[in-house]
Amino acid sequence: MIRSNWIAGLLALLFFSYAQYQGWSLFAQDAATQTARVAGGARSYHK
Amino acid sequence: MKTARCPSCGAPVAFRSATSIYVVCEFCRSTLLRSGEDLQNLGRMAELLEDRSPVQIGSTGTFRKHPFTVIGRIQMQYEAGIWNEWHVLFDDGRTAWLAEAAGEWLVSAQVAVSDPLPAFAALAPEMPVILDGRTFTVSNLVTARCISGQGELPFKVAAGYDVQSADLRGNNRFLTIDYSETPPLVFVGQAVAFAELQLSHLRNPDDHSPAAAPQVTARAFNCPHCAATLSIHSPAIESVACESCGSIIGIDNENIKLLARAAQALREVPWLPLGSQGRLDGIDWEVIGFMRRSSRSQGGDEAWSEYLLFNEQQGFAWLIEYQGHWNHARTLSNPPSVGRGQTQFKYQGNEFRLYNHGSAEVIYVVGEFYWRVAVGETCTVDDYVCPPRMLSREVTAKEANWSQAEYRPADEIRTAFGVKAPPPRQIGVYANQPNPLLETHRRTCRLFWQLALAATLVQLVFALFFASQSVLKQRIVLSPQNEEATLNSQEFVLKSRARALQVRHSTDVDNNWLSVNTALIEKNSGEAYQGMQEISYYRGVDDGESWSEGSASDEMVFRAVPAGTYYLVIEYELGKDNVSAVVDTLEVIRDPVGWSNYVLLLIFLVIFPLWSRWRKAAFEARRWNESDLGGEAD
Repeated sequence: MIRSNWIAGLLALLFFSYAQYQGWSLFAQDAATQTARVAGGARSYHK
Repeated sequence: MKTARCPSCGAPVAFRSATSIYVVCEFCRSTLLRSGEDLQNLGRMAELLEDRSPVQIGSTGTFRKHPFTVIGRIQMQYEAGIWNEWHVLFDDGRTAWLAEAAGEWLVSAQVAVSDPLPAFAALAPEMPVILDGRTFTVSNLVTARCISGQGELPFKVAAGYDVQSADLRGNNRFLTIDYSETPPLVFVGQAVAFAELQLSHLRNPDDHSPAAAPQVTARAFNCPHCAATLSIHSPAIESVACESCGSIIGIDNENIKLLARAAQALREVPWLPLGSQGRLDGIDWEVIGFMRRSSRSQGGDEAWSEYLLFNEQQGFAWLIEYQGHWNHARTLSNPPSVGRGQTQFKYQGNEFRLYNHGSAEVIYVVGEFYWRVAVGETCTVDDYVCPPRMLSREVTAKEANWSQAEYRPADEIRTAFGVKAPPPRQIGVYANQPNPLLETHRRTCRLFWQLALAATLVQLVFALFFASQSVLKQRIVLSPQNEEATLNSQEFVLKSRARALQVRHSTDVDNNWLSVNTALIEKNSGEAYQGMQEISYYRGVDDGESWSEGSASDEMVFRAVPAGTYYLVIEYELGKDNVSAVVDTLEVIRDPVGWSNYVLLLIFLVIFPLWSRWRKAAFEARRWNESDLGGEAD
């Protein structure tokens, strides 16, 4: 049990570190991943 | 040392101790009284009964680093046999008594006690007695007769005298109250291992080296009932049960006496045969006796096996087997002071808990024993456990004994005694069986704290070195006048790619809802990222109880946002439930460091110690389920 605990704990720690680096959060609401190009974006944006 | 000649036979006699008043002539057995420079002959002393004690007059030894010499002895006879009290003289002139009882050696000296002593008839085993502020517990009550003496003695034996004596234990001391005189005499001493006495000049005439062990070889004799060959390994042996016919023979000095003729209908074959030799804890033991005992403590009969082990230096020990579980036990010289019915106590730093209370009955015996064993012999038993140790108290009408047992794996016993046959099958969890999950749980907890510490360090590194950076904070007013409105935020610059960009709306919306469509737009390329949020917050009071639902703030994350100059376009729709304008504090945070992942990781990590704790507790529950006292698991 200790060995599996050690491996699982280490993997969890690594995953946690990576998630923190990426800014992942289970409870955060992600914006849409799709992007759009807006003409004249510097001036105005229309729906 | 004062020397003189025996007035009866002319043989030389010596007084080595100044306190010796009497000496028994070695040659004619006359009792000689020292009277000034003269010796007065008081008559012949009765003959000593032959015994097999390894000690003799002239034997030397050491007690607490003080050398002593054996200068005399008295011989006591009681219902089960005889024992010797050896009069010893220390190098500093003090005298004491050395006695052997049930394989235990005791050194004691007379002391004066100011407290009144209880009457012998008022004593009972396990009864507490307070003497000079110290509490002792009665362990043994004996009625005996001093039948003979030898060598130098501080008192007159003459034709013998009756003795009632009580043995008490407590405070790491052994105490004897001798009721042969008025007021009774009190002796205080200590139990000591035979090896610690470093006895030399023992009875073996062929070996007088100081370090030599008493070469007590087994003495063989024939069963008076079936003529089978039997043996006696120790002078402390008081009975032998014949393996062939089941008769029980009493050993009364050199004579044998048939106590029970082929009385045992039950025949048992011990897993460890008599005569088996094995090494446990560096000590060589020989199996010399085997008995089966049963208990009726739980409604049904439960039987177990007890093997009596013998070592010339160490005396006696026990191997106890019950349902495949083994214990190595020895008599406790310094037992704890525990009242009847007491459920727990502390002994040598360990907390012992009552596990079992019942009676034990001998149902089968074979081999040698240091007391007059008999089938049907019963005693009450209390077992207190602190795995892997167990303290057991056995009480009869005249005796209370404590023993300490330690749990041993069956394989260890099998290896130690080289037994080829498979050991009895192990069933269930035994009273003092060590919990194998205890260590696992400890290691799991240790690992949890290590990983939790590592996770905390990682979190701190992110919080300190990859700190969240606010790139925009702006207040905007969302007016209810426009059904649908669009607002642009101030521009902000991302100098490098942002792994995550958090947009947070902190509003003062109250009893209303707000739909926000946020677009993140790169100023130069026109590339847009979109996200939609619903923010609503309602509150009120119903039946005197206040309530609320929803939240006035919300956040959303844009991921992998390239470097550039950005601004936000907020398109909102405000509900009609409240006509007030809403102030929204818009904040954009680059690479936010959240704590939710940290908390989730800790929750995941703590599952393992919780699981191991549950398994550990389940093992304890199985242990205590077997207890007839229904103790609880940890």
